[in-house]
Amino acid sequence: MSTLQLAPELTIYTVAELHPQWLAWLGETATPGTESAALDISAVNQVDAAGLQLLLSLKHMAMASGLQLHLLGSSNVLETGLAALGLGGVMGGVMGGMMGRAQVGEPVAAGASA
Amino acid sequence: MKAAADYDFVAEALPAFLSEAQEQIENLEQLLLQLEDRPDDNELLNALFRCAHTVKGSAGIFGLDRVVAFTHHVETLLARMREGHVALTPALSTLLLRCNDQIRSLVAEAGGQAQDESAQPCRDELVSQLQAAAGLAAPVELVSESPGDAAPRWHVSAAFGVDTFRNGMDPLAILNYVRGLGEVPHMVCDVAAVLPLDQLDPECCYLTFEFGLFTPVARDQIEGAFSFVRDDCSLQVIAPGATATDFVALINSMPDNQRLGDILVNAGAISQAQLQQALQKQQLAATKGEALLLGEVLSDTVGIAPRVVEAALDKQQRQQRAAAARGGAAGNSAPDDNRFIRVQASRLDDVINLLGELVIAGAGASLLAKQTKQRKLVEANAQISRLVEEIRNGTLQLRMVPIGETFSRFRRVVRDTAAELGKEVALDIVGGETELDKSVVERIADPLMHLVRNALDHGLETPQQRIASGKPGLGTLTLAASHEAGSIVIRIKDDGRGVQRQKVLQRAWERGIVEQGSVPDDESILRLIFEPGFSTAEKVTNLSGRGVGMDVVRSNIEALRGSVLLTSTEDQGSCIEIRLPLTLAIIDGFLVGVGLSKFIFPLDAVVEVIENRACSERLDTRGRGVVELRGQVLPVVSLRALYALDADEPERSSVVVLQAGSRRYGVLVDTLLGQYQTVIKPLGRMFKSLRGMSGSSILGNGEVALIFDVNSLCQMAAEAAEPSGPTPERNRSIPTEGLAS
Repeated sequence: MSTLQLAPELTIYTVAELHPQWLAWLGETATPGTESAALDISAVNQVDAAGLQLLLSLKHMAMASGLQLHLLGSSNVLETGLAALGLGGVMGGVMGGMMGRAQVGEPVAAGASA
Repeated sequence: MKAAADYDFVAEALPAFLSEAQEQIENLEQLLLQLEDRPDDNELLNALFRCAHTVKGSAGIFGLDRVVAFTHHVETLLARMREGHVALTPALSTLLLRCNDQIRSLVAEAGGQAQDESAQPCRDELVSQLQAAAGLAAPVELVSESPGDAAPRWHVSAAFGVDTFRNGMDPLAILNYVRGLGEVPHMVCDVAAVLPLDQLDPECCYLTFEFGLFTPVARDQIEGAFSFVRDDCSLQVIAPGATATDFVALINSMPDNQRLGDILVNAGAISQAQLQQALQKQQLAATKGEALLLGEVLSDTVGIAPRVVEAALDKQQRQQRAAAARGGAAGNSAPDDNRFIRVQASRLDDVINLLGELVIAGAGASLLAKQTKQRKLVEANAQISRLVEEIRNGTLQLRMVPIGETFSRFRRVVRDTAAELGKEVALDIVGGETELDKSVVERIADPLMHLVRNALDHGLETPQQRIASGKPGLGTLTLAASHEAGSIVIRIKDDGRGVQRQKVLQRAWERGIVEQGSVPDDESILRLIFEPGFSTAEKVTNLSGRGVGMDVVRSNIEALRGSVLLTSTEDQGSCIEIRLPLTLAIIDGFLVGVGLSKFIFPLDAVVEVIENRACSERLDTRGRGVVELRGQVLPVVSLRALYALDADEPERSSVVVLQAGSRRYGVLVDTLLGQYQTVIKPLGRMFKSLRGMSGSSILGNGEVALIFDVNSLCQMAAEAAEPSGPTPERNRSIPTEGLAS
């Protein structure tokens, strides 16, 4: 499983730079047959709403191409930030939004890491 | 930058809002009055609620907080009424009408009128009455879930503007600050609004949040948290104790938001059960835009008719435009899908004046073409004339409005006036869809108002008096409009005491209007009422009876080339009949010739013509006689004799059969010249007293033709048909010598 290593800083100052990188990664990863990929968040130590929005957007795009994204590792900063924006449930592996349409996927820690 | 765009938008759209709000307020008033008659009509109640809701909603868009705050209370009461908790009583109706007046003045203040601070205590008083009437000590709350602490629950909806990040603002920090104000049980982000990565501009903010906030602090402080982003953040803070309505309004204010239902549940605004119910309905429902449907179903569930949502959709579109303008993406995108455009009346008038000139010039060109006897030129001119005629009809149509709007304004007048005078009156409106020229409508409203008040004050009796004279206690006032022979007829009819001739005469003697002791005929007595300085009310009320009025009414109507006629039967009622031309500008005419003179009849009044018949009928000295038309006797009048036209009697003549009211009569003329587009010019002062004429027109060759007023001409013909009729002939002064052209 392909894993994207998230940069330490996910803020308005870095989103412009990260955006094409993530897009490229998703382009490579989201191939037919690939069902899941992971985001390694352990390095993240600085976030703001712009960064979190970019993350959410990545999730959306992956979902649209049938790719499950899981979070790997832990980052207090990122998790607090997500929770503060009410995105904890969304990014924590529940893909289908808040109506309980989608299954709850356990973050898969096993297997590949980059 | 953004603030400036926002300001421009408001400045641009505010006039439209004001005029729409005024319409809604008018509607509100009409509906309230109708509801009084039919208190069980749920449709009316729903419509009423929609009106109030629309006013509040659109006032909200423009930040007219005073309007919103006040209307909110009205809306709440209406909601309670719809739910069947509160029944409409006359007192309640009066309260709502008074509130509506306040809304009107608040909207007027928003439009730049000076604020009337003295009205504030009155408004506060009304608000507390409204709350008392709604039976709401504390308004119904949708949310039963409520944590242990006693802090009230606010609901906050914040949609951050696209430039939030670029402006250096971080919603995350703002939300964290809000958390410091109180407890946020659920923070919900509208994730659907965030675009997928490939479409995302990472430096644009697409975040919208919904959350409940338990806090003791005031609205100012909650809003203060957003003060740095206030310019491009759409923020709605819903006070504790909001009703379902507020949330439906919220749903409607959020365009394209399919997931709002979920969001509201998650934010704790409505319960999951309510949403589930709504969603089940949604699955059954048809394939419309999902967002709209959910809004619709939700509103159903919480007890708001789907129409509320429909009504809100227009508003929603407007908001989208507003958002677009705010976002600066579309710049100041002009509203393009409006079904109506508002045009300055003066521009329309200019067009119509030009059109008049065009018609005259066109007639001249046709005439010249005919003289050249070149067929192709004549045909081309005929084609042009046809087109001009179509343009004329189309243009005049632009100015036509139904008179019903004017009529229905009187409902309130009748209601309040009757209450003030202690009378019971039912207002009946007939033919409100009748259309007439806007300029006529505007100028007839005041005279009508006066006549209505007069009928209420002088005509109709108090219930006791009515019952004593064997009539039902409830008086009836009828306002009727209809088209008759190229004119519009407005009748104001009451079943009151009628005109008491003796009193009128007495007063006329006292005032020296009629010579002491002389008794004119009945018709003349009735006409005395329209004389200047005449008033018969024994008690001068503040409504009418100040002796100004009826004469002003008459001169106003006559200034519109109209006529006013009073008929009355003592103890049975009066009827005032106003006849007005449909338009003040251009009509289809029928051109005839007598000797060298040309005359025009309004084509609408011409029923048929009998062409080229031998002159055999006998006419009296005034040129009146009868002819036989298909076995019927038809009164005819000869223009030659009537107006003493200086021309030889032809061997053969034609009869133009005209319809005036319910009567038909014929006019003897020498030649028929056919249909003619007639630009009406007023008669000069010298000819004002001329009986039977209403205007003049310039023909293509520069000649002047006089236009007949079919009704007054009819009176002459009718009088002739019954030579020993009861009505003594009036003294006519016709300046015939000035007529021969």
